[in-house]
Amino acid sequence: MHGRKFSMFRHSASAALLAAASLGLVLTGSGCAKNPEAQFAWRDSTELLIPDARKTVQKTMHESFGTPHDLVAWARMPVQYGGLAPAAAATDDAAAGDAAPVDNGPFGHQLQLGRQVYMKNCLHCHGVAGDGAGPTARYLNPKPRDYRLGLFKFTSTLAPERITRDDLHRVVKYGIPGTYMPSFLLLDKPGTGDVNTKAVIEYVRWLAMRGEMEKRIDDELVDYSLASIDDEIAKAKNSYESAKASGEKADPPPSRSALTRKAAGDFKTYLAEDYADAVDGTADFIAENWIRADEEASLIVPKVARVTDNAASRERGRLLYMSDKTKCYTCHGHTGKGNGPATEDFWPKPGSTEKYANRGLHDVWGNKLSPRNLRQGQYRGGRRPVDVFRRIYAGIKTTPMPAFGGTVLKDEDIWDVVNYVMSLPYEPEVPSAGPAKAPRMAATEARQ
Amino acid sequence: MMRSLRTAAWAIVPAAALAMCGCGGGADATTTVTYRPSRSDAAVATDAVPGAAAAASTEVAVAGGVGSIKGRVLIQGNVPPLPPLYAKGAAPKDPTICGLEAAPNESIVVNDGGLANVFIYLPKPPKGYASSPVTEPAIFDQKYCVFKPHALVVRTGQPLSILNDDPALHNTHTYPSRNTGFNQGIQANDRTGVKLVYTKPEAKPLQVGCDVHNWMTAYHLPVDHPFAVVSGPDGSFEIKDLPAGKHDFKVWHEKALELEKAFSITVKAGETVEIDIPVAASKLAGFQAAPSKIIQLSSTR
Repeated sequence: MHGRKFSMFRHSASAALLAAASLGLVLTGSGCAKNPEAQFAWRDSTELLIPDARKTVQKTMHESFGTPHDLVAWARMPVQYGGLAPAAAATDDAAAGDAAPVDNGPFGHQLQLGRQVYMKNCLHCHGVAGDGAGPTARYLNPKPRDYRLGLFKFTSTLAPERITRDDLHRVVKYGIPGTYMPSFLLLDKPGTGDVNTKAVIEYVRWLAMRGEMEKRIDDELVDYSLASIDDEIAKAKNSYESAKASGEKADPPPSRSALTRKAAGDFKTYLAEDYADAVDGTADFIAENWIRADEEASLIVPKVARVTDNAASRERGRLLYMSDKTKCYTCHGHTGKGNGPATEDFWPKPGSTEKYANRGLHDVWGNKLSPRNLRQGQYRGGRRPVDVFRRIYAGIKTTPMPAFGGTVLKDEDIWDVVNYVMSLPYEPEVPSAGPAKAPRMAATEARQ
Repeated sequence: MMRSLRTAAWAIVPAAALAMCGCGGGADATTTVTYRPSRSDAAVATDAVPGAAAAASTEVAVAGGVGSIKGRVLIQGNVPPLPPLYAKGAAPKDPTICGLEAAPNESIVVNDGGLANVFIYLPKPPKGYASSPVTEPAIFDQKYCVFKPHALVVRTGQPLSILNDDPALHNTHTYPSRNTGFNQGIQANDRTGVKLVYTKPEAKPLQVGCDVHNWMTAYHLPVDHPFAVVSGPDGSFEIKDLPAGKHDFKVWHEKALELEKAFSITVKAGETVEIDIPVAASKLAGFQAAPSKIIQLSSTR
């Protein structure tokens, strides 16, 4: 095993390293000498719950997923933890929910290995909890993925479905071009069965399920959060002041402590009546979604082979791209440079009454987002034609890019658009077959 | 064997960490994995009960009789009418399609003192109430780049047909919190419709937008019972066939968000309760409290 060789090497070098270390200790004093213990950072929405609710959520999360040092392998979640589950659970229905290959190792070894690989290679950007807020994250644009919504952009699955293990495998192995996500092709030696890659993928899936669980439970408890108490006070203050201004009598706004006490009382009732069901339903929802992602029916398979990539097909693709039918140009621009008029607009912020403060499109994490510049020949979700086909068919999850497949475009049409888009990096910026400065007219002609 | 090597390596780990890169995340720390069964036995046992209990108590609900609620959402104070989002012919995008009509600003619609588009609903079905599924599709249309209707209640499991009456692409993009998000292009002039099904009830209405036309917004509320309505153009609403007893309604409007957490109404069997819901005009100012600040002191994020 190469791990053993590595240890031996370290053994022989240990004296030198220890000397260096003690020197380092003297020099740096406290600094980095003692690593802080890794922990799963809580979501802001958890931290903002009233104390009773927060402690309840944290307890649920600890019981269901543990800590970075004491992992909990919850059989409900479709994760291949590795090894055989304890005998007592042999009849457990969901433990068998994911048909894992026969594996006689100690239970949980794959999760353990995944954690180790993750902590060495991934946490710098993606953070201990997979929140995309590792120490390096603040310097990066685009931001590292925050797994905690359970959503990933580049998938081979239908619009409502999650990412598959194969998709994650490809991303880990080959990276995401145009971003900071590098290729981890060297994580495994050829012929070793991608043990490390597979383990880290299970760990990432597990982190995603963990994060989504926390998010969804927080959403259920939004009435018991300091944020909603703040909201209530602000509202009461607002109506009090406007009543006073118009000379009416009104009750002064309630105090924070009174509202917190009331929320705590309400939470007690909720905890007794509804909490367990909410957690249970949430866990089932998450598990079902992740199980479905890896089912064959979730995969996008083009119904027709790629339309021959020739001038006629590209022209059909171009007319579609410029048409009101697809409106590709509104985001990706008339020349495909990703600078369409939508990038100049102010867009509403979902779930609030406001708009984003800066122009342009945003993803569900609230990060500003540029539509892909199609003239660079760089495709984040993969450069195989079928990858581009799938981007158009199912849209790009978490972004404004909608799904076109099955409704707006037939599979043949999508291939035409793929052929056109993939020809763009090699063509002059003004499409020669159309009117130079009036692409809208081209679309109108196409319809007639 | 492995373990002894591990122990040997232990002495080096802090040193290596120091010499190489300083603060790591404890990649080499020993970890334990604890097995947790899918469901505890207690949970399985209680799972079996609700079905039977629900069936039994539906009869109780029927035995208690049903009544209705009727009323209006009334604005207290003055709300000036909002100008349209754009005038006829002046759509910021697709003027030849969207601009055929002015786009009304439906965020606050007041007619005759009544507030429209207010959701009045029970957050969960009355105790023991078992509702039958709805199979007839609900219609969600788009015309002149405006969603129709602006506020819609839909049942879980009920198919929602998304139509398009414009000769241009729309995409319907939902932002639910319990359901799976939906972002699908809707073909120009699509009169057959694209099907959307909400599988879970939501705690509050969710926003629906179109990424092609940024002014287009609407609200959907998926619920798992029939006791949810949207107030009409003049603020009137009616909820029928409620089991007799006290019910706590949530009242929600897109500008004020949650207007009432628990608006209590007592229903008597065979009677119609007439009740108006007052809303102070100042609540529609469309404000939200500044989010509370969190200071993260952890360096392990």
